[in-house]
Amino acid sequence: MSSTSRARGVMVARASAGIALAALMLCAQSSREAYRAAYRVWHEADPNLERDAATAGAPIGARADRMAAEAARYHAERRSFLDQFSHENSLAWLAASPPEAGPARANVAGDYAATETGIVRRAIESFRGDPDPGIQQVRNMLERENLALGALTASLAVRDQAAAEADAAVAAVDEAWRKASDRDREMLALIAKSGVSVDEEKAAWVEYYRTFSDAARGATPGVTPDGGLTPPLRPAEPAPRPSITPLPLVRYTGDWIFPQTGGLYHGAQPESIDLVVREDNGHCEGRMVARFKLPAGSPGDPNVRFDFKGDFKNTRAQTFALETSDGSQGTIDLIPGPAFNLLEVNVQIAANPGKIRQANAVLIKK
Amino acid sequence: MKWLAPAAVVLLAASSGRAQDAAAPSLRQIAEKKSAEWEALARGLDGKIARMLPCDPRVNSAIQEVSRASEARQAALRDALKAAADRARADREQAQLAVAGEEARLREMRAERGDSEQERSTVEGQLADLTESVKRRAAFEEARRKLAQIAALAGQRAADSADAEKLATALNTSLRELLVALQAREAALANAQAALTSEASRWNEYYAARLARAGTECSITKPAGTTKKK
Repeated sequence: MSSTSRARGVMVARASAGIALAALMLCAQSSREAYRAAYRVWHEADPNLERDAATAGAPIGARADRMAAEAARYHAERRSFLDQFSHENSLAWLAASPPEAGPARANVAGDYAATETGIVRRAIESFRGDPDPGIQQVRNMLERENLALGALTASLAVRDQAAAEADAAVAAVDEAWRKASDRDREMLALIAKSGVSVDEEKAAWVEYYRTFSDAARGATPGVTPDGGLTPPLRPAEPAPRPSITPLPLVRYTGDWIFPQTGGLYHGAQPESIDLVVREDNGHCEGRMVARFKLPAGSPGDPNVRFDFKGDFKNTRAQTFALETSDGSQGTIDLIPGPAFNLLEVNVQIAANPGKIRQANAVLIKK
Repeated sequence: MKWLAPAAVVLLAASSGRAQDAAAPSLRQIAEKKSAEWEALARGLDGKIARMLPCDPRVNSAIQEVSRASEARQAALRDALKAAADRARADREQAQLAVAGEEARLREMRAERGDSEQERSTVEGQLADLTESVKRRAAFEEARRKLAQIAALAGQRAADSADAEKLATALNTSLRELLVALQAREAALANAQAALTSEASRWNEYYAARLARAGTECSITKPAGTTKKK
């Protein structure tokens, strides 16, 4: 990269850095508040869950299910915060190469000036005492040249000194730059590690609440401290018929809604989504009614209503054909979420202009 | 995945720009080339004009050619120094911004540590409650084991957050050191620019004196009456 384009790049980066810094603190603050709020909601939803485990009976399983949903929301917020924090807190300019030394020093010019000074002074000396007026004129010119060379030599020395100081400063900058850059990289690595931890914790919490819920419902026979088996708290339910889908059908069927706060979506922001999914003998029928938030003044239609149907298949994501209330065709994907009361929907509609054509959101079971 | 196409175009354009940059000589290289050109002419000047008669018009031309090469060299040095000074100023301003944000960065890291400590403490409370419950209802033993694993993860995250806070402090120190070094570099480059401006004037004076001497050497060797009438 040439010096000019690098300098231009650095200056552009500099111009945006001020804005980014101000935005960072504001965004980090608001995003941190979002995940803290999700954390509070999660832990205030049922602070006595574990304490009540031994006494509350099967209903505590449903309490664990609710906690699982809140935990999922918290981890989504936390992940979002860390992604944003990592992005905005990066001192990206340190990733550029440290500045290089400036142009070469004035040694060559200094040598040249010294050589010329020697020549001129020798000539002056050789003309000393020559009575010829012409020679004296030349000698005067040589004296003028000698003075100019003297001033030049002094000037070269000053620039050489300044250039030496600039080079020394470059060495100091280089060392400090690399140190700061290394620490910034370490910092970013720690933040990235936090992101990985969030994913691990999220998976661990999902598994924990599932295990807890199963235990509460008697699905997992426990072992008493003395080694005996604890009986289930309620009679075993009839064995469910084999599921067509790789996950239980209940992960797809039922009444689902888009949460009023903290809902996850991609693309158009839902205001409300109501989804009903029914299964009968391996066949699915459903209806979705949704309203989206459109930009102010947008002439588009924020409402979507469609029915869908099809057969369940042995795949995790189920895709069904849909038809909207005005006759447009499309598809809906039902994708079980990380917790068993979460369902991701992905809608594609070959709709007319002004209509919602795509939607993606995570719904929670009613 | 549709976004990949425009992104690829942007990346290609950027890499193509870098390739062009890499092929183009840097201002420093240009300055060094101009210096070498001037030096070759300057070193050969005395020998060249020694073989010419005093009033040979090529004498003046030769001196002027070296003078022009000197000016081109000075201009290239000026450009290179200006670019270095611009970069130094931009770097210093970036570092100043980063240092200005150090309190906020530290505050965020403290908040991060506080949050992770709170989460660790809460999980340990949950684990203690569930451990008590398991004593009465062993069916929750597997859940307790999973919660213990979560507590370990939370403990690790709390430790990482404490490390991050220490690292933020160290990073702030490094940034302050970098700022001091960048300020020194910027000042040194400003001095070098001023010195170069002064040096350029001295070269001009020198070449003017050199030309004046050549003119004198010519005038004294011409027979009387051969001087051009003005």
